[in-house]
This record gives sequence, C-alpha cells and structure tokens, in this order.
Amino acid sequence: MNKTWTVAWREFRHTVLTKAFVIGVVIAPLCFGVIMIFASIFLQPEAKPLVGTIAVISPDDVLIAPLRESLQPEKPHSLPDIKGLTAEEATDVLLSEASASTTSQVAVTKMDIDIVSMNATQIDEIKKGIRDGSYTALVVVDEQALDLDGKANENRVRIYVSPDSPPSHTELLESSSRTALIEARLSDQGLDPVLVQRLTARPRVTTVRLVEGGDEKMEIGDLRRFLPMAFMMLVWITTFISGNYLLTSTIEEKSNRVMEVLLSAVSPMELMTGKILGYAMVTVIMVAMFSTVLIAGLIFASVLDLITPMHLVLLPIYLVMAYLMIAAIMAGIGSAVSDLRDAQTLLGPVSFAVMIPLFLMTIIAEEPNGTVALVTTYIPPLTPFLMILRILATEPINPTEIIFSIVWGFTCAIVMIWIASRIFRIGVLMQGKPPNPIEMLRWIRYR
Amino acid sequence: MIENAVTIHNVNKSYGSVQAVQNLELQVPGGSLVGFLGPNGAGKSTTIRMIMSIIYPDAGHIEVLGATALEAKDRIGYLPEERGLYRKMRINQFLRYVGRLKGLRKHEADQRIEQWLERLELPDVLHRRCEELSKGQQQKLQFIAAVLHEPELIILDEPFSGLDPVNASLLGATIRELNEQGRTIIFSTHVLHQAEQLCDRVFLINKGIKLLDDPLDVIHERYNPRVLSIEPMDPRQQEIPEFKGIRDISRKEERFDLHLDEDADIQLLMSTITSSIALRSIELRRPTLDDIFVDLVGAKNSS
Repeated sequence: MNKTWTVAWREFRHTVLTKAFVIGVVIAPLCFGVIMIFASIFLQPEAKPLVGTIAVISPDDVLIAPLRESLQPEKPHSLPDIKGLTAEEATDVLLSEASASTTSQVAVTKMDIDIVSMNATQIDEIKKGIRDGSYTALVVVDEQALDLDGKANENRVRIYVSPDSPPSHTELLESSSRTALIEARLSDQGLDPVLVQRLTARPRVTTVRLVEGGDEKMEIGDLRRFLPMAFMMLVWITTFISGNYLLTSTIEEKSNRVMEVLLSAVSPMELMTGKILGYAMVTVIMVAMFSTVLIAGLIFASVLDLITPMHLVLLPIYLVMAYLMIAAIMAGIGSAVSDLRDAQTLLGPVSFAVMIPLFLMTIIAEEPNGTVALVTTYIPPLTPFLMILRILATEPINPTEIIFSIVWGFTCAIVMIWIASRIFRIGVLMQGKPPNPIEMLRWIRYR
Repeated sequence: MIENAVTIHNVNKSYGSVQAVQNLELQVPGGSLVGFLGPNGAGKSTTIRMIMSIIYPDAGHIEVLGATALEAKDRIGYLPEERGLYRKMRINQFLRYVGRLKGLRKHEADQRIEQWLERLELPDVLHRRCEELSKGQQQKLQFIAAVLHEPELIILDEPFSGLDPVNASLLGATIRELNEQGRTIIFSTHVLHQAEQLCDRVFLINKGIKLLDDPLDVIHERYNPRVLSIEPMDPRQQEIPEFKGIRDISRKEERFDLHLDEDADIQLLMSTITSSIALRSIELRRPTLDDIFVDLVGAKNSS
C-alpha cells in the first residue's frame, strides 16, 4: 500500500503543481469569468448610426406613420423595479425578464432617418439608389398585408438593404416593420394600438411550491432545471479532465520507456491503483474548486435549500462512482496504446458513449422517472451521471432505486477496474501497433 | 551469503506461437558476477523480466534471493535495456521517487543520491531536469536508480551501451566494486570482451535454449582449441616442418596455426619448435568468448 501511495502522491503532485494545471484549471476559468463580467459591464457594443432615406412602398401608405413611430432610437434598457420584493421574488422577476427579453444584442441608439413614400414603378430606380448610397433601404409591403383572410404570418414585407448594411440595421428594420404592420392592422380594425399593447403586456406570475414539512417556497423554474445539469456537468467535466490526465501520464510513461523501471519496483496493479488514487485527489481539488463557485452562486441567489443534506451524501458517492468508471476506461486505453493519436482512435466510441448524458440531460431533468431515465440509468458508465441529474430533479426518486443504483454502479465500476487491470498488466509492456478489440479480449482472459 | 541468488527451474515462456524461453534451468550463485549472453531475440530480456516478476512464466518456477520473484522485488536492482526517465522531472525528484518505490525513506534516499552522483562523476546536476542531461549522463543516472537502494541482486541489461570508453571504464569499475561488496550481478551484453573482462561466470542462451552455463575459467578450458600460433622470423617462409603431435597446419598471412593432437605435450612441442625454427613469436592461443559465442550460436543455428 505504501508504494501505491508513493505512486499516487507523485501523480497528484506532478499534476497539481504544474503551470498547465494552475493555468488551465484555476486561472483560465477565473480569467474567463472576470472577462465575461467586465465585458458585460464595460464593453456594451454600440451600433453604427442608422442614417439616410428609407423608401417605403405600401398600399395607401399604411406603413409610413407606424414605421416612422417605430423607428425611434431605442431607450436604454432599464432593469425591472424589484423594490420591496423578497430576494426570491426579485430573482424570479430578473430571471423571467431576462428570458423574455428579445431585444437585439447590439442596440441602434443613433438615427437620422427620412422615410419617404414611393410607387411600385420606382422599385428598380430605388434599388439602384441603395447600391450607390442615395437610399439606405427599401421596405416593400404586400398589397394584402392588411387582409385578415390570409395567414397573418405569411411573408408580407420585403426589405432591401445595401451590401455593407450591418446586421444591427437589418434586425432593426425587420422588427420595426413587423411592429409597424401590426399597428397598421390594429388601426385598420379600429383598435387603439397603445391600448392593445397595454392589454397584452406580459403579467408577472408567481408559482409557490408546497414543500415537505408544510413550508411554501417561491418556485424558480429555470434554476430548478439548471441545477441538476450544473452538478452533472461538474462531475462530468472533472472526471474527464482527471481521466485525461491519467491517460496521458500512462502513455507518457510508456513512450518514455520508464514503465519497466516502475514495474521493477511495483506490480502493474499497484501502479494502476496508485495512478487512479493520485488522479482521484486531483478530481477532489477540482470538484472542491468548482462546487465552491456553484454553491456560492446558490447562496447568492438565496436558493441553497435546493440542495438537501441527502444530496450532500449522494453527490460524493456518485462522484466516486463516475470517477472510478472513467478512470478504468482511461487506464485501460492508456496502457494499450503507445501514443496519443492511437488513444484518440480508441477513445472515439467511448467518448460518444459517455456523452449520452449530455444529450439526455434536458429530458431526464424534466422527467426523472420517465422511461428514458429508467432505462439509461443502468447502462454503465452512464449510471452516476444520470443519477445525479435524477436526484436533483424535482420529482423524488424511490429510495430503493437509489440504493440499487449505488450497488449496481459500484459493481460495474469494480468490474471495469478489473478489466482495466487485466489490460494494463499486458498493455504497459507493449509497444507499437495498438491492439484490436479481439486482442484486448485475449489480454483480459490471459492467465 | 545465499547459495543461489537466482534459481530458474524448467521455465517456459511463449508469446503466441513464438517460444521465447524453453525448459530453462539456471542457477546464479550468490555473490557472482554473471554475464548473460545471447544473440538478439535469444530470450535474454524475457528471462530478465521473469526474474524481475514483470512478466510471469507459462510453466516452471523462479526463486530469487530465496523467495518468490515478487517478494524479492525490493532486494533487486534493475537497469532495463530500454532506458526510461521522466523527461521533465528533476534529477533529485526522479531518483528519490525510484528510491521511495524501492522502500527507502526520503532522507535516506537524499543522502545516497548525493553520494552516488559524486561517485559517478555527475556533479551539480541534482536540480536539473532529466532531459537536460547528455545520453551518457542519463545512462549513469539510470544506473544510480538501479543501485540506490543497495540491492543484493543487480540485473543490468546492456549497461555499457551509449557510454564513451572513459565512462564505460568508470561503470565497469563500479560494477566490480559492487560485486566485491558481495552483491550478485547479472548483466547482459552484446559486447563480449566486456563480459570477459568483468564476469566470473557466463550464461549463454539462443532461441530460448541454454547453450552454456559455467565459470569463465572452465569455459576457457573446455573450449581450449589447442592451437599454437607461430610467426616465423622470415616472412617469406612458406612451410613449417612436421612435428609429432600436430595434426593440422593452417596459414593466416605471416602466421601459422598449428592444431595439436589431444595428447600432445604442449611444453615439449613449444621447445622443439623454437629450437627448430627462427621465430618472431609463439603463443598458445586462448579461446575468446567471441570465438565460443560464434561457435555455439552458429552451430545451433545451422542444426
């Protein structure tokens, strides 16, 4: 055991105390976060001013007035009023406001526009004018644009712009024309557009979840959906980073020919166990770091109660299970190949399999006891990742199923490690062409 | 001292259809310095790996230092043929790591590292990275890694390859010194004169089968070709008169090889020849390991 720890400590030390780890795992995400915050605060992009003449061809000039009204410089976006709300209510308001916002990323705030009415016969002349810069755009409205017989969402407006027109201008022209046409339709029907807008404004709706113990909690739907995915991603990313370290370190020892020196001192099993333990410690460091950020976010949003004590017991169990499964795969592949390129070939199908939780996470977070969840949970190595999604989702999981998943998951993990160890003891001494699956099977069965 | 450091009994090892080692029997006496010889692919590395319990025999039994190969791992030092270092690791860290794996305590390892670096003339390299050393220096570093834990049995696979004559001589002296301290040393080599200079016993295998396993003096005696090599004073001399006890004469440039009968009296013949012919030199030829190697391996390959 002493030798296993010596190997584990070397692997840990030579991974964590390297510039690559500090930069890649600590500094880079930190810098990324800081840059994102800085950019969102100080680097608001400003669009080019929209200037010039916009020609409009519309039946009875119905679009002229509403388009002129609509093409006003956008007012700076203001946060919704959250004064007097509780923290939970404020979070809810801000989240729903953010998800409801459809405004362009780059707002056109400066305009000097002249809107002129033109005839359909002048269309070619105007297009030529757009190309030579005398017109900024041409808006052509369909003759039946105000008819209610056809489909309301059929293509009723066509906009022509110059080749160098920026996307912010085209987005603005499209949204303004759309709004103007709706207003024209309302006026045509004798309705007051301002009144209709007020009547159709999105009201704030609050859901209260009746939680266990008779308490009531404000529902925060987006966070509830996001949380299981965030924890699953956390485990997925950390186990994969550590697994990759294990893979590359094994390949490095093979290609450096240091493997035989090590095997003269330790058995292949001790070496593999040491490596798995070493990178388990690396995983703990990464999980501690990332989960601190995640939990700080939950505290900040006053929703820490989404994590229960039972979650705190189960999450580490599934983390260990996930790590053992991924480490077994990486140790097996790393020992079987002689360079990274060969490893990529073998990793291809494995990577696809372990990416299944990412494809399924939305479905399973929404329906944690559905058929998809129930079937895929018991396919190793998906078990720990999908169980994390399921236990954090809203619908409670049967405790018997949780116990069964733990027993099943660890049984699979032990079998995977046994298989990896059989491949490892032969593979580490092999050089050259990587083995095919039949050869690997032979290695597993080899006495 | 233990009677036999290594006992290999009826060991077989094959890789698929290739029989790497066949019914191998071998005893390496404790405290001996054994040369392990054989052509490429003879099964040397396989045998060494089995002694090191890196791989296991298909059949047979190996006892190392009175225990199983696995139990004795910490009492063996091993320099593999394919040299391996962690290129980015610092020298003190690498040697300490290997020492720790062999059961040394940290301070104990550190003390010995400094002593060995000095002994093998590697000054001021302690904190340098392994990749910064020359090939010869790396070779010496790996030798230190093999002997740092003061093993009772040292196995060196081609220890002199890549070393210049000065460093080869330094390493040879160190090996001899370690043997004089009572350590059993097995080393494989292709450079037979090095084995001849160092070893007191030779073990030769070919195609997984043992061909030779004896002390060097016994081998010399057994493979004594009983040849007198003479060089006449007159280089134009074409013939040598017949003497009793000589069965055949062959000429090599200015020298003549006189092949003696089994019962020939060498002393008498030498004095008869020197009194009959004016000679520049006369010598009783001693078989070299090269001769024996070529004879045995060549005969085996042609059979």
